[in-house]
Amino acid sequence: MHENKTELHPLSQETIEGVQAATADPIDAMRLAADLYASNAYAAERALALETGRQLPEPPKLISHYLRAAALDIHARFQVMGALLNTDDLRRLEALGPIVEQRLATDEQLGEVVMTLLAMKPEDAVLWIRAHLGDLEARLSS
Amino acid sequence: MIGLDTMIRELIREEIRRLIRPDALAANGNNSEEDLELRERAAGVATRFKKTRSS
Repeated sequence: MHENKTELHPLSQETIEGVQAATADPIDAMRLAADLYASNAYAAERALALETGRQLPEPPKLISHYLRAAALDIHARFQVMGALLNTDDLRRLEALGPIVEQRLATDEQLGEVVMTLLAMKPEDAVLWIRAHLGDLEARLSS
Repeated sequence: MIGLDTMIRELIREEIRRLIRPDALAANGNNSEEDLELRERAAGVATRFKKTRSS
């Protein structure tokens, strides 16, 4: 499995177009492309470490303004949602955390749900989580 | 090679890993001072995710 991850490939035309569409700043688009390469190297190194039992690598430090802002926003959104949820909700989500983290790598539907929640106002996302937490637990435990 | 959408998803996974580390769980509930600033920040960023997803 890691053989594919450790091969060096050029960014696809689709990815380059995505990078250019994501930021109007051509210099930051270059930094964003560099972040993508660094993240691919990290993913390959992490996969190898998991396979061989070696120490997990540290994630790369992002250099593009675009992804640094996105990482800060993701952090802020999780923090705000955490502050709005009650202790019981948080305990249940903490139990789901490792499963969600793993499944996000392959489960497209779950990825869509998480991305949609992060695009909502945190207050609305929390309402959605409260209404669907039982469904999520049932789905992720199977 | 991962693309931009996958990159954002990896950032989310990294944040979840950070949140479920024992030291982060122990710190839960101690972030009230950050709340106002974080709320303000989070309130203004929804479009970034929408833009990324459509790229």
